[in-house]
Amino acid sequence: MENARISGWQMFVITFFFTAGTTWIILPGKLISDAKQYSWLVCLWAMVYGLAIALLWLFLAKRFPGKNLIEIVTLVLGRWAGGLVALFYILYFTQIASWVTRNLSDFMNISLMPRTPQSVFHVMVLIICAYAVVKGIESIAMVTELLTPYLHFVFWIPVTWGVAREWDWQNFNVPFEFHFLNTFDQTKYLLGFPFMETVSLMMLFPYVHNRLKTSYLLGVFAAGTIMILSVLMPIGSLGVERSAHLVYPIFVLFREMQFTGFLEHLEAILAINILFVVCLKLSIVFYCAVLAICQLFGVKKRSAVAYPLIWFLSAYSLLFENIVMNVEWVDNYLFHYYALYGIVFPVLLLLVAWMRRMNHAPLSGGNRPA
Amino acid sequence: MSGFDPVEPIVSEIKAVLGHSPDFICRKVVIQGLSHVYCMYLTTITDSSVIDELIVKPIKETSLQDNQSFKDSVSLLRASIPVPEKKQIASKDDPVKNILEGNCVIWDPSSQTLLVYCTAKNDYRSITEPSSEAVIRGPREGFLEDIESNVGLIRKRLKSSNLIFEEFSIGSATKTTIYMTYLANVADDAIVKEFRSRISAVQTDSILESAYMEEWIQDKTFSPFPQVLSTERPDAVAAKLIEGQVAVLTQGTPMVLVGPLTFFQMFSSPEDYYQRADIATLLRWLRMFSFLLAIFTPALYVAIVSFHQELLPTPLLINLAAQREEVPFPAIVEALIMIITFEILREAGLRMPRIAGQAISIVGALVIGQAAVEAGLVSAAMVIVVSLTAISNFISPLYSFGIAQRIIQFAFMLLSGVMGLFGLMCGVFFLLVHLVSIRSFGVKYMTPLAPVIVSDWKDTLVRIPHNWMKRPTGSLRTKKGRR
Amino acid sequence: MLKPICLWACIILLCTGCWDTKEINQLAIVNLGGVDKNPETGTITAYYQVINPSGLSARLSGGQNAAVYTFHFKEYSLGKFTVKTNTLMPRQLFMPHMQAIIVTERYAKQGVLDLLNYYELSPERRSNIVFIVTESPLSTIMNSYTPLDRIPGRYIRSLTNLTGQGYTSGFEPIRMRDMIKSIYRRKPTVMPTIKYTSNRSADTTERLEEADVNKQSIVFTGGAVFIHGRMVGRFDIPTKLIFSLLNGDLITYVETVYLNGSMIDLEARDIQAERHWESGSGLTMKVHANLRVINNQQNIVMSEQNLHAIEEAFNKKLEEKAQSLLKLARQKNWDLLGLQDQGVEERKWRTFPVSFEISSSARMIGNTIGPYFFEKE
Repeated sequence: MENARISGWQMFVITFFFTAGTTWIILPGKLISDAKQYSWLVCLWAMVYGLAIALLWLFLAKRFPGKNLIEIVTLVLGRWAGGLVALFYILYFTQIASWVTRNLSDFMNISLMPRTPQSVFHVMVLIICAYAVVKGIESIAMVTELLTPYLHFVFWIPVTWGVAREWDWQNFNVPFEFHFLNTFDQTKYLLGFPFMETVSLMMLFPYVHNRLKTSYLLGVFAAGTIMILSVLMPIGSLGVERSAHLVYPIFVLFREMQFTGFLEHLEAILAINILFVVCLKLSIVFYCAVLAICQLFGVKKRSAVAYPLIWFLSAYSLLFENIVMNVEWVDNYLFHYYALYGIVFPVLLLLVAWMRRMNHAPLSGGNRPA
Repeated sequence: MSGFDPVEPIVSEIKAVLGHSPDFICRKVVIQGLSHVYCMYLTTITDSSVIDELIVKPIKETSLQDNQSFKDSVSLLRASIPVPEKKQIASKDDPVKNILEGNCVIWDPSSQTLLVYCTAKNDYRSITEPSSEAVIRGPREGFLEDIESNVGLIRKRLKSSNLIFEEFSIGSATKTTIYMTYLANVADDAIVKEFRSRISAVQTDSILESAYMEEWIQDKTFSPFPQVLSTERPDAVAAKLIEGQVAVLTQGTPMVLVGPLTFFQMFSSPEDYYQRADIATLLRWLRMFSFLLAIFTPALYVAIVSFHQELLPTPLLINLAAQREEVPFPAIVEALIMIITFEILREAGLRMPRIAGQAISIVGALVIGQAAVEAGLVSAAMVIVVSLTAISNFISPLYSFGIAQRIIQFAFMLLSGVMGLFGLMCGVFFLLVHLVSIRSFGVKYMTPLAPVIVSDWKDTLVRIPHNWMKRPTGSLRTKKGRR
Repeated sequence: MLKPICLWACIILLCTGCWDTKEINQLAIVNLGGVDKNPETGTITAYYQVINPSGLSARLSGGQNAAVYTFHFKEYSLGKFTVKTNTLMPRQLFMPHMQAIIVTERYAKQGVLDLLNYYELSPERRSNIVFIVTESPLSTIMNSYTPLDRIPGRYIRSLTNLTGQGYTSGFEPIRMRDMIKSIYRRKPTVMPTIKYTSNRSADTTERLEEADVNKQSIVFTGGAVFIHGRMVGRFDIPTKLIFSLLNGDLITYVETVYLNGSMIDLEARDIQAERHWESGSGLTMKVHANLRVINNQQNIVMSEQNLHAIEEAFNKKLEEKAQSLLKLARQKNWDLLGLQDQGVEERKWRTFPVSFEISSSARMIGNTIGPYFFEKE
């Protein structure tokens, strides 16, 4: 493990971009088609769920201060069982990474560059994220910090102005009857993606020395707020039916904004934003995966794992043939798949730790073994 | 008398070590009543007037005074020669080293001692304005090639007893003198120690310019970005020493290295502090903006014209299409041709004799550009893009930063020619990760923007008036709490 | 050994990124599109008006060169046009810069839902283009050159931009996206109609030498009423304006009132149209406007009393017009006020009581205090 320090603010932006990263691009279309104008309510309770789950993980981390997820697993469950669970987690991280990559190449293919083969996008973005991973988590944290003001500024100013002009309260009057349980069941995937993916950030907890709890929870909260807004915006300006039918409603929102006479075609800004956000999220999850592998198998240099993993990830991203299959799988199975890693394993760890009376509660500020 | 006594073995030894060099002189000076002494020196690097007037003549005069109070020659020499004695040496290797440094070595056979006197020739140019860093308002003194004068220029500005100079002699063939200097009560100990260890660890045969030192002591070899600042201005060095940085002076070059360097320091010129605060802030922002312009303009042009024509406003698209009607090359090839041509012109302009140099700049810019457009080889928009890029390049106050910009602009252009906006943004991300991971003597390169140190923004992103600057920069971890 | 091979593999792989390059001179930049569908055979005729860049640029041309060229194709299905254009068009079809689309009346009456679907699906085509219905034959309009603004697509766009300044969102809601938004709504949406003032199209650039624009030009005539993507009728321009006003889109409106036998033209500004529902059994529409006197032909001096009278006249006039629109809506079964979308049930909206309360205040009167008049003995 490298000797890195992440400050509270850096942890906040990392959590925020990790959680909100690809969500606000992909989710609104599907969500609005499921929950119509009540999508924002769905986001609200998903956020509450996300905060609750985050508290669970923070509790787990607090019992083993200074240790990241893989270390806790091997410590609590022993070498063989722990190794197996750790292997599951490594698979989980690589799964998230390959999905993120695939989301990016889908987006690029559909909107901007249709003829380029998807593998090119995969390899390109994975190479630079592998470079970021080799440079270490401090570099990733600092790049996130650096890009945060630009990304927010460039996104919110056009959006506020453009949406304010086209807002139509009439759009919220779509005839749709809201049954809580039905909708909850239909939109289960929102609980999984993205809020249960943040268990990956447990790999970074030992690097944050102060204000871990506040920054982590605030990050999840901010991401939830952004999601609510990103669901409200398409409904308000494009209308429920249109957003439900479009694959990327926010992209279309940007595309149709026009100011003054010549300031049109602003979707380039959004595309650049999306690219940066995806790179950030991919670097973080890639780092978690590489760190997990290095710790489990005792590899010293990250670069020996990171560069070969590029090829594996780019191939794995081609798993689904098209975006419709992806969406259907997410609809049916995502919650159950993520629940294994987000709920079942942490609860299992807590139980076993309690049974084995392992209490690594903070002694004197929580020193980490070197 | 320029003969040599074959009897004295030490003289012939020294002569043999020096390879019977034609500029080696050994003068036998007779002291009345005592023995004679031998003066050995190299005529080419010693000041002959000093030797004649201040060494040989006083010896002769004193000895003619018929003063028997001196016990031996050494005390007579000591009493008579007004030139301060450098040292008295005993071993056999040292005389050659001192002779090569331009000193005069006097050998007294009666007491078998060697005395060394400092007689080195100091013909350097006078203090002039540094040509590469001219300012409108501010001092017009620049460093010289002589390290002693440079130390003097710094000492004139910092009259503090905390100003420490540490001497090193690096390079087996050149034996260049290197001074490392810092303010002991301000500079961080860790940084000073780092400097010291790196300079001492240099093992090479020649240090001819501070650039050699820069390559040895910098952190990352494969980055286009400089990690130490090189400047010719004593006022800039003095200001940076006060901020807690460390300077390295090299004998034989006026360029002084100052470190550690962060990314945002490359946008500030000493002139920022000699103009008013609001103008200085605006000019800083202009420099940052022109940095962005320099690296992004050709890449964006190529990406949008080749890949994403839907992002242009329609009138602009029509104009560009009209201009490119007869141009045979795709946008990326055109851009490459223009930029390479411009780089050739720039290099040629450096080597041209000064008289012809003026002609080249006007000819190159106007005629070649205009003629190329009329011949249908490139489009007019491309010429504008290239000239804008080139001019924004020259704004950077640090020349090595300008070179870094050119490399990056080239790389971005190639990336965007292959993959469009996507490739460009991948390149930007890569550059950001690279910048953020550079450490200059332990200080993170992108301070104070990442990690965020808000108190440092007052001198990096803006230049606040002097009476508002209370605390020194937090990034350098200096010792003092207040200025 | 492995590292250089990997590096080369990466570089070669990345070279495929340039499959997406489009040379700017190989693009046919379409600025205006026209679609017609034959009701009997279902054949679709598409007109593409392509910009000729060298004809437009100030440097290269002499002012006589053609600014646009029109191509037309016939196909059975909308998606095949991108391929069909390869039979005649020497450049690649490039749609993202299209400014307006013109649809014939007979196609509009069949329902344009297939066109809207195609547009939303295709990533190249944008939905914020102006949607227009034409009464004249499509070939006449598409094959004509326009003076003053030499690209017809831009000509139409400038026209709509100018009127758009009087609307709340800065532009008139006559774009394709507004059409798509209203597919599921019960309130109709109104798209502008145009016609060509002559039977012959102005298909040579000699047209540009003529000074009389009205002889052969595009002119906006009114509005086409669309419900669920199908045209059901037509308005004239005054009705269209009242429709927009009552639905809260219009903020500037010019009206003529007669007072004391003379004509007064008023510009109503900052129009606010609010709806007040009375517990499910009635709607009161309150409209308030600030008036500005543009033209006053009365032969009395302006006084406060006179201004009040002007305001009253305006209120009455506007209420008359609103009532006639309501009558039209009930008669033709078009829910022009959008009552059903706001909660009124389907079988009740035709008899739903709607009343109008118009109020205005005269704010600005222009340069003269009172008109010049000549007292006849």
